[in-house]
Amino acid sequence: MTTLRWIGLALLYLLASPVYLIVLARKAVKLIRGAALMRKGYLACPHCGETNALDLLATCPKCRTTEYGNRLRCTACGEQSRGFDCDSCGVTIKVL
Amino acid sequence: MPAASDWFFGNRKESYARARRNTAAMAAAMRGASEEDARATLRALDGDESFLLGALPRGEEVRLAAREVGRHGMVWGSSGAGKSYGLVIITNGWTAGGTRRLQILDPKGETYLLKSLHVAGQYLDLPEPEREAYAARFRVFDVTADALTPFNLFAVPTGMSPSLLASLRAAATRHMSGHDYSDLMEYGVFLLYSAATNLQWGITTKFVRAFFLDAAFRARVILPRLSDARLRDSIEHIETTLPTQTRTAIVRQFDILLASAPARISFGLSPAMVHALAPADARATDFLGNFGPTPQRSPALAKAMAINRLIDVLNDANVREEITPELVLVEEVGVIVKQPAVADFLLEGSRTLRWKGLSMVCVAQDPANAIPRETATALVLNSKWLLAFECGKEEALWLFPHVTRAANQSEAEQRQAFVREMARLPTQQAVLVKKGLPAVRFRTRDLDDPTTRYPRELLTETFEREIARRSMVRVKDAEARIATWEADLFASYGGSSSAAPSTVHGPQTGGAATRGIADLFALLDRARGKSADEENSR
Repeated sequence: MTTLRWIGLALLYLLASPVYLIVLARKAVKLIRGAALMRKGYLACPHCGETNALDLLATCPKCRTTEYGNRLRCTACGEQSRGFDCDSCGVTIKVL
Repeated sequence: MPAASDWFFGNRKESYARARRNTAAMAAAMRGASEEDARATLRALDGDESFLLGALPRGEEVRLAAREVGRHGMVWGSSGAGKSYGLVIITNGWTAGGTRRLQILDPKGETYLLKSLHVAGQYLDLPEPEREAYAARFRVFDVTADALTPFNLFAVPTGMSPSLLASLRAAATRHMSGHDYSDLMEYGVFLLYSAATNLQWGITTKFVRAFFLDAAFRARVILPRLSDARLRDSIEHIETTLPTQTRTAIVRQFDILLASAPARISFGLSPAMVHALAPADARATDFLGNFGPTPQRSPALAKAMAINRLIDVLNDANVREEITPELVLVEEVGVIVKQPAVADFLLEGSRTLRWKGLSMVCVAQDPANAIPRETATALVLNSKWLLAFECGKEEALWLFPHVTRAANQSEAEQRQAFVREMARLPTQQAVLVKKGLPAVRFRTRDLDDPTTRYPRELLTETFEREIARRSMVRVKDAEARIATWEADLFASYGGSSSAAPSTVHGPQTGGAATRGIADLFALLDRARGKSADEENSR
């Protein structure tokens, strides 16, 4: 009975594996694109088109540490933001 | 995990270096923008007949055109922040042309003192032949041990409602007392002032006592002379509308209020006496009012006189036909607008008198607390320019909407930073806002100090002797005139009214003694009126 259960579970994973692969691939693409963006250092606002610098003097919204570095990451508490407000128009720009 | 994070976000050192570069570039861009903003504001403030007010931190001059001063404004800042210096610069600049009028109402006396030293300094700087014309420009409202400027409390400006004037004077009188006035007391004071205004008389303690407590005096002296039938009717029935206790309470109040010589003279001089003692000089354009406490005058009386002066200034502007540029500088405005009637009158003036050329500059230490909220909001709203020295949070927040924002900080962070900055502004540093343009922070220029050229005593003495004395009358002369008038009045009445509470006559006390045929008729009239009332009620 136990063997049958294991075989069934393996079959289910096998069947679902293409979905997992797609999800992983999408995440990988997103990460690679994000990493390329971070190296580029600038991001245009989708609303007003203003170029926003990613590396700046910024304050962590969680621990309030202010430091020079990437505005999406706090080196003090490890908080990672998924986006930030455009410096010009204030619209939230999603990065991750 | 840090390694994976570093792979994604990039090398920390590189990120740090880029962040430094980006932040510096943004700050430079913002500086450029704020400098451009400041330049735009300076250009808008400058213009014809401008004067130097101060300088920006990087040295650019802040010049203020007379046109800008001639709009309603508000100035605030804590004690010692440089307000008075700033105000003297503004008023000197405003009157430099020589044709514009200036009214200073100073319930504190500081700005007046500073201004008086400057006026005396300028007077002494002038060659002898020019001094007379210069001194004639000034009319001073002040009190010294032996002289004071008489007030024309009961003269009605042409075109003004006497009852409005009486109600405003009553509000100012109420301000003088530490007691709460009941509605009935206020009504009694209003009737008294209405009568004085109608008769063009002054008020003395003896007159007040007779007015409220002596029915025969009213019947024989007051009523026949009143030209207003409605007022005559109200005073005729004063004993039915005002209980004896209220009337005696008013008499007690006036006994206290008119105890000092400045009060006795201010209230006792009739318009004709003021005209005879200190005729108005048509050449006067600069009116300097010192309503600060002095050994001769209580602070309450000083403030009440400041309110009365404000009433006169607004009345004059209201009934004036020609458009005359006039700057009314109201120091310590919180002290003046405590009475709702006066606050309403001030706000009404600020709303309606601009077309007569009148501009009002209200000054306060902490307007957010010293002035009732609605009045403060209306004053800030009506002001076209704001000048703020070191101040508290509430006042700083009035300015914040006009401050250029930085791009790399949130609104809340900038607001907090601005409030902190305003609370720590050094002396003479100020923020100037012209509505519709970004605020500029600057330092007011150093004021020329006349005490470096002349001894302080000489300046004070020159101002008192050559300038202030022109508007003042000797206490002795004024009191003699009032005493003569009072003696004549009571002599014509028959001299029988000691008008002490013990001689109260009238239906309520039942002691309707008659002294003459007029009294007898008055008594019969009252009795007839009473019986008619009784019949009607039946």
